Amino acid sequence: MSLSYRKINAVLQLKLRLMLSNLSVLFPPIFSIVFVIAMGNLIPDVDAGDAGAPFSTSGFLLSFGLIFNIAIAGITMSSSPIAEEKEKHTLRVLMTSSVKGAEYFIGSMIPILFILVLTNLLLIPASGVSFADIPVPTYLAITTLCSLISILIGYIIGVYAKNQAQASLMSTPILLMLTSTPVLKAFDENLARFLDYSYGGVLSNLSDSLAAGNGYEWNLTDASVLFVWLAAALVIFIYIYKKNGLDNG
Amino acid sequence: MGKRVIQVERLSKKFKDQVALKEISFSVHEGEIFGFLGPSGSGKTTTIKILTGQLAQSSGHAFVLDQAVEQINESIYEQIGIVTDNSGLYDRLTVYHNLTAFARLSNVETSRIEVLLKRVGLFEHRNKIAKNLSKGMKQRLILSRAMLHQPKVLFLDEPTSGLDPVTMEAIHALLVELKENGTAIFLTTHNMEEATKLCDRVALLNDGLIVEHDSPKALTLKYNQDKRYRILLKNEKEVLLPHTYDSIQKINEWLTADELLTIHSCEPNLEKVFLEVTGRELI
Repeated sequence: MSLSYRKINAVLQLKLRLMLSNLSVLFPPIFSIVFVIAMGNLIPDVDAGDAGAPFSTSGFLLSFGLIFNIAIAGITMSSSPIAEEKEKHTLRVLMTSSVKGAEYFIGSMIPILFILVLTNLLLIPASGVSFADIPVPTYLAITTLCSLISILIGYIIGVYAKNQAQASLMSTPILLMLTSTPVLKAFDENLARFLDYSYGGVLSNLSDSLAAGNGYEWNLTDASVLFVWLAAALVIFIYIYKKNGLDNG
Repeated sequence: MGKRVIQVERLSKKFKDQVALKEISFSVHEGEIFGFLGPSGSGKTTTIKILTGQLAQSSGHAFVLDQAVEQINESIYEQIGIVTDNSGLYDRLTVYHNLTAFARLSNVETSRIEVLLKRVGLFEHRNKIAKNLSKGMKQRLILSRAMLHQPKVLFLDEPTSGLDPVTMEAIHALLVELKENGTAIFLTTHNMEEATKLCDRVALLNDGLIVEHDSPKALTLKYNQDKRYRILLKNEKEVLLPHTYDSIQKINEWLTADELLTIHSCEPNLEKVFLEVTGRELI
């Protein structure tokens, strides 16, 4: 299947313009940064190990911001625009104007991924963590892979849902599960072991290590978990897309 | 007659127990406006959806630009334009930006956007947000978008439905211009006046079946069995006369006495033809 760079670029520019015309789409990533900065000013600044503290304030804030950005922003920013395009019948117009499904998804994905990755990076100084304290390439690799998985989950929801309301409804339990992963892991050891095999769990492990200030070591289990999740999300997405089409209304 | 651009052979469509199209056959040629007429629910939109690859037929064959509709692909979409009641606009974008996205997709120079906007009377409104446009303006914008890449075939599903007479007239002029430039237009409507005015040929669709198929003139003449003349005399009296020898004598007398003001033959219009063929009105 040959893809047209021109058409991908056209979709990308259209999506950027649509984002700029509806800044509420950018609310989750902006909110994650603002919230982290606000909390940083409210919570007492503690380093891991200070007076028996199990984590550092900055590490905790970074983990919170990451989960918020990757789970909530990643899924809503990818599912909601597809559902909106279906609802307003613009997706059908695009698909009958010579755009291939893959060109549409790639063109739509690039700005979202760019915003997520940029936010993941901005969260580091926003949370008060020094770039010198974290393995930036590993951090970038893990957060980008997790962002990609979230975007694909958002696409699955967007392709399956008939409108924005349905997309929101379908997203809610997934978002709840993903955002509560760090808490659930802290509550129950058995559950924690199980959740280690989710991409939210891997993200939580990275965050916990950064919060504890003892660094993060890239390991085979976490890498495998992320790649399996990415592959599974991609397979499910392709299956749902083939079954439902982009707009079968 | 130009090259055949749409060919439909014994096309049928079933939705569960309901038959939407029953073995319809017709063809459309380049530089022709082909009217597909019928009341709501007669199968007009279903036909457009099948011809544009948005819906699979149950049986039969259809070809658009020599490509079977089941295998319609991007290269065909690049040569056709579609306007249906489901043709949405990006309502947060301006008129101009609604078109630039599609100009980039179709590799069309952005200078053509200005030309088109001037042609449809939207140039002064190019910086308006689409959701703030009137219904007529939105329809003209949708039509402009479908014409942006100068398609060989244009599918129009009730393009003037609910529009004011001035907008309707502007759209009609645009369609005639397109036809003269060689574009084939497949037009569905239940407005028989519009069909008579614009279409070279029409097919009358009733319950998924084509019940008549010819030029509007040929159809009205064919169903003009009960020939009558409507005569207006100078004393403002209106007389309806059958086509008989006596009537012609009478008309001669009025002519000689200079009492006759107007005389019209009373062919049925397409609406009456439809009523006669199907026994139902076009609602």
